[in-house]
Amino acid sequence: MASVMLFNRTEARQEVEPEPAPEVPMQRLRRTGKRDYAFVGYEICSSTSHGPGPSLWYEINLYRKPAGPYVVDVRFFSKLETMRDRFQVFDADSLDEIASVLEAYEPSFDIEPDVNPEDSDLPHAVFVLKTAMLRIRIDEARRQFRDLVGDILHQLDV
Amino acid sequence: MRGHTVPHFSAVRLRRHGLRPLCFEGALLIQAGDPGGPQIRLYEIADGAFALAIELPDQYTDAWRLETLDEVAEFVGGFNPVQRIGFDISSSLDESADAETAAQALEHEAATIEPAFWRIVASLLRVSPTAA
Repeated sequence: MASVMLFNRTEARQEVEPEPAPEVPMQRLRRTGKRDYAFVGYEICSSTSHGPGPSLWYEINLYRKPAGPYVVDVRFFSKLETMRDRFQVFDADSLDEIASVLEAYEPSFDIEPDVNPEDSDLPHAVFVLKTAMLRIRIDEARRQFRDLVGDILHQLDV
Repeated sequence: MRGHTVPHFSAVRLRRHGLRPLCFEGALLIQAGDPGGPQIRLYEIADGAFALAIELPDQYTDAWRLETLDEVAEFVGGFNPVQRIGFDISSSLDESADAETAAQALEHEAATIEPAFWRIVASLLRVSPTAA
């Protein structure tokens, strides 16, 4: 079940940026395959599709830097041994660009296949079943991610 | 549309699945469903088109713009709620008990949502304004 928490909608909509206050926190976001993304900014939205039971889920967090741009933090988690967690961070100049980033995100890239078509020792039936499970996981990742994005964009002023 | 009074239009914002909300000036024509169960809402848009919103709680929420009531009827008739239910296998193929549990959960969810969905579609069609 998706849950979205908007920390400060007024802040997110504000056109004129206030002077950075000393208490603006430093954020450090993990990125898969890259060094951490560190910046100063507020967290304006935190959301997750995590609920009881699922083997995979998403977290999406939005941040706003004092100078105006936004940061979109997409985290994919999986309990499966064959899949790795994946963390991606995107910059966005506006709420509209946040929407574009999230609409264009393709969750199937987060699902790692656990079947090798060149494995000649693999019985055909097992190959077919593993392929079917791969498809189920891709469908579930898409459903969860898009349900979460729909909820976030519905709550943001986009 | 026949026998339909001019509605009072206001700003409507409907949640979509993975997309920006569907926003329009419109009026709610029909709402069918029970709290906590599947819900369908049909809106008339100020420019003469329609908007359909379908909600399967905790699973799926989306909305579409459709140009005519015939398109609405065709769309609802072709909508398969079971395809929108989450299905998750948490373990490897070797742990077949997990897959079986997941399949049973899907079957249970489908057995709950599917009849409820078609029941509200039937109730919606009974009160639906007929196309001119």
